Amino acid sequence: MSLSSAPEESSGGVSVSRRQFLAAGAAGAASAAAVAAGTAEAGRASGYPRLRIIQLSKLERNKAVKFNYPLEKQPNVLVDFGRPVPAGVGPNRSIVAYSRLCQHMGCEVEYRPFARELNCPCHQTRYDPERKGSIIQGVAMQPLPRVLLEVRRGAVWAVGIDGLIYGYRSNLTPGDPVGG
Amino acid sequence: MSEEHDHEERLSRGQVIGGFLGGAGALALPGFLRPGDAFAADEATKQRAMASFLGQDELPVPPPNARVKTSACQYCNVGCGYKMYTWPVKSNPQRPDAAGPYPKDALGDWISPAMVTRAEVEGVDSYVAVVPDRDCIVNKGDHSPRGGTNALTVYTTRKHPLTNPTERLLYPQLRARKGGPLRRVSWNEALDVIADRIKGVIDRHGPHHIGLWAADHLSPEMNFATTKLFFAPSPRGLYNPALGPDDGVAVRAIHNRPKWNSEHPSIGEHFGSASTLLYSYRDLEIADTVMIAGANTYETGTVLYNRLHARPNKKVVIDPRRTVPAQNARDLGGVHLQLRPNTDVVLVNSIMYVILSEGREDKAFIKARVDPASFEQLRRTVLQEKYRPENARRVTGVPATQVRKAARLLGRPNDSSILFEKGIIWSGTQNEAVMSTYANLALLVGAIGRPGRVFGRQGGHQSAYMYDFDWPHPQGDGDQRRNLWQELERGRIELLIFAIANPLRMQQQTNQLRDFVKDVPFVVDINIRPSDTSKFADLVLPAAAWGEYTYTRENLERRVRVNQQFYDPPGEAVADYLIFSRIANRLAKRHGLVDRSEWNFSNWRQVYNAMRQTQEGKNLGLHALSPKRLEQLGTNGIQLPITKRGKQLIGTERLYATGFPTPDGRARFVAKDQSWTEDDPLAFLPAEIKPNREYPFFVTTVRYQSVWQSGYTYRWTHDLAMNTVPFMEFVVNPRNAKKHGLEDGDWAELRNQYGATEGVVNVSNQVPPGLISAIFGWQGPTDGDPEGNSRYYANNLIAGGHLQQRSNGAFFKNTRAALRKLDRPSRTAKNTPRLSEKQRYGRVSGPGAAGNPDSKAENLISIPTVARDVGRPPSFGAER
Repeated sequence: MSLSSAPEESSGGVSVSRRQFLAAGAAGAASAAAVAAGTAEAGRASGYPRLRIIQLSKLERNKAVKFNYPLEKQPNVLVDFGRPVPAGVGPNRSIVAYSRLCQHMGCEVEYRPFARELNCPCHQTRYDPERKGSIIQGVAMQPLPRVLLEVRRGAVWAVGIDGLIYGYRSNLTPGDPVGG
Repeated sequence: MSEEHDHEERLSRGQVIGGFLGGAGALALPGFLRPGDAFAADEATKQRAMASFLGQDELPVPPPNARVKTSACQYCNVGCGYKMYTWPVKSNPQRPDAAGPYPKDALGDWISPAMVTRAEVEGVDSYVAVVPDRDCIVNKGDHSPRGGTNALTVYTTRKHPLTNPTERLLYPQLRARKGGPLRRVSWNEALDVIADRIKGVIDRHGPHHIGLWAADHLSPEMNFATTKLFFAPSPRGLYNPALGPDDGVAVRAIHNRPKWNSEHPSIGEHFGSASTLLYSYRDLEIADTVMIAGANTYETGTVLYNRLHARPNKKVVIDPRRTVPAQNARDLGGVHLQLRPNTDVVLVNSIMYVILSEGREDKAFIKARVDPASFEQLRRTVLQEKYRPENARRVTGVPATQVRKAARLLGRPNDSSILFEKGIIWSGTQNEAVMSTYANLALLVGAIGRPGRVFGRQGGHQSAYMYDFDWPHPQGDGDQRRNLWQELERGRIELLIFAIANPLRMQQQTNQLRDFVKDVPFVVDINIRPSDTSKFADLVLPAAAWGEYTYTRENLERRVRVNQQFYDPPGEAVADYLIFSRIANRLAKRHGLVDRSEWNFSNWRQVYNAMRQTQEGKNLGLHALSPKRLEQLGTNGIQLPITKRGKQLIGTERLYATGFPTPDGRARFVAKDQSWTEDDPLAFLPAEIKPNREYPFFVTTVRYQSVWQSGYTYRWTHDLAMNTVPFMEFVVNPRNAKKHGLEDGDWAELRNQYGATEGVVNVSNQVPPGLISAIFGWQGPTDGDPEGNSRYYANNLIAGGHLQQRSNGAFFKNTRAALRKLDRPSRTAKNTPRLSEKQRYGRVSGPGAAGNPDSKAENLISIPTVARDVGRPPSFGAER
């Protein structure tokens, strides 16, 4: 498995060269320590690119951060709740991210900070980002695909997806992975 | 280690990419892992399970040469269209162009993981995709979580990671003695047994000692077989005219009521026909005002609700609870009349008071289409001062301003429509009064027979559209027909046949019913799975389920479609109408009780052809519609009744456009009056359900969307439903909760004179103080109770309204109870299986409320639709 594109900055996203990827993999011991500190273990998703989403220092509590991943056309949203939530990464285990495409019929959901929900305007489905994207009420049948995150070197990275993104048979085809 | 460790999943090399199983949330993984285990399982394991089930890494999608069948959804009365694709696993090409280009657009034809499965099709191991049909005029690809998971009910013996549909009856079984074990028998032996029993009862006791309770998943084909067998005079059927219409015919219950009669008999007095009022969705869509009374369309007719929500109408919601439709009404220019339970007559009369006082009635319509003397009677009744909203409020609890707003929205010049459902038709002994009052309102504002004007049911499940054929019930007067509950109570039933129903779970006072059934000498259950009812059966016969046989039904639009078979029934299961046909054939062969030449059906086309040639079939215009032609009409079908013009077949968009089936063609008002006193504003309520000191709470039974019809039809898979609603839930207002020392997750008991039920409390202002909701028909564990009673069953509290001969006596909706906290560990996030953690339970949150930050359940905030906000054409209404 290899990702051989050269690294580049593009709207906060960075893809990883093969060398960098292997370097990340070699830091197994470091990631074990990261587990103890409550961050996600380094994901080695088969074929998934790695994307640097945002610096920890730039994160504002309860404010949506939009990004595309793993393909250019796949929109997601990241939120830092400031307190532990299931599957949360970061020093407070508070950071989560999900696909923005509703699992019902693919409309883009919006994050509503005062309700702390992801709502779909098409048929009123409500997802709970504080409970792994599961459905509060609505017509979808699966929770929102969750972006697997990792905190490394003061930044939050996307390393994989749990779930199948709306519109796809497989999350990585067809389309261009972010960063090239 | 905390429960949250699962996010640290390792994704190892060589595993399935993509991964199409969700993490937490709506779908469990039973049949594969226990819910708790599934949650702990890492991503790789879950993906392996799906890959193993499907036999490949990617979600299989239909190739261009896949076989395609069409059907309406098996569930609710909205009747969305579905296409079923099947193709052999072995020849699965998975070419890039399979199922068209990817990725799919929003509102497109993406096939979700829940829509794909694997089954035997003509003996061949095949992939099956059950996809909402974009070409169907009803839903245009939209779907609810029920229809969207139709595929997960398809029978497969392989370990499906998302569902377990294997709990089915596969072959006939017979009990040698009461209480003994069931043993497998051949169909041949089973048919002999039942034929002998029928013959025995008829000879020794007479036909009226046979009881038939059929059914829930009803089709006209099934009705054809049973109506012909039990109501047709000998030698076609078993009715013996020589004994008279009372003694000569079997006792037939239907669906949720123990008597063969309409669910709303009083409608006949208004319109000349008591048959269910059905319409066109298009008319609802173009209405200015839509009233939703006693119905939670968002939960139970979701796609229809979506269509209404996408339009700029104003809603008038009549409901004691703050449901999603109620909240939407409040937020989007309509009004929510949050009435005290069972006060509809007073409330609606007060709306009519305002309409008449302000001259907002549809004068032209009333003059042209309604009986004038009845109008005078209505005026005299509703213009009494007690119905002035300011006075009526004493009874209903609804502020006068809201009543006046509703009247304005409903009255002219608005095109108004009224939908009603269980809150109205299940008001027990008040059914007549309540039903008539809404019919009066409809006539007053002209809500019938014209574009944008609908008066009709919002419905439960789809229905049979034929009942009588050539053989109406020998007793013309519905009130005179025998009541099966009463006959059982009196010990007069010697042979009882249940078919495609589960009354020992769904009926009122099932504890009582159970006792009666135990005393019946021989009980037959024709069912698709072992149920509460089959526990008491002496003979169990396996029926085929949706997808395993072909039949037709109609939806709320009177749209009839063929539900085409698309995979093999399991074991020896047979279509329900063919089972009855075989029984009749055996009766003929073995005992000469009926004419054998009348009972030779072996497939759907034969039955359909026979039924369409009957008088009722001709009245509907079905005689002109061949099976082939109907199948060609696919998911759009045709709206009954049909008119033939040359070679063209024209469906009927609107009923009662020019006249009503009354002697003079006019409809009539039937004014209903109610009395109360200052001290007793609910004086008119039946004593059995009226809250008192001992049982101070109103209790209402309600529906949750994810558990369709709350498990009403046997087809919902335990796993899906139990995962989203894992325990009986009582929603309790914060004021009441506080007084009883109840918090979210606490166990509580509701008890009244009929019984008791237990559940987990959800503290929320969805319900007003004094009202508690419980889930209707929720299938709770029996905890090993030998009788199969469940402690978690809301129907334990329900009055048996069967005693009332007139009206349908269905009291399922409203009752009363005392509330008591139980000394038991509360349900918390920690002790509830994670996949079942339902966000509904939690405290009220929002400004000013003592909130539980973990709760999302109370944020019933309307989400403006794209259609409304940005001017994009709504999904429906615009012609394609």
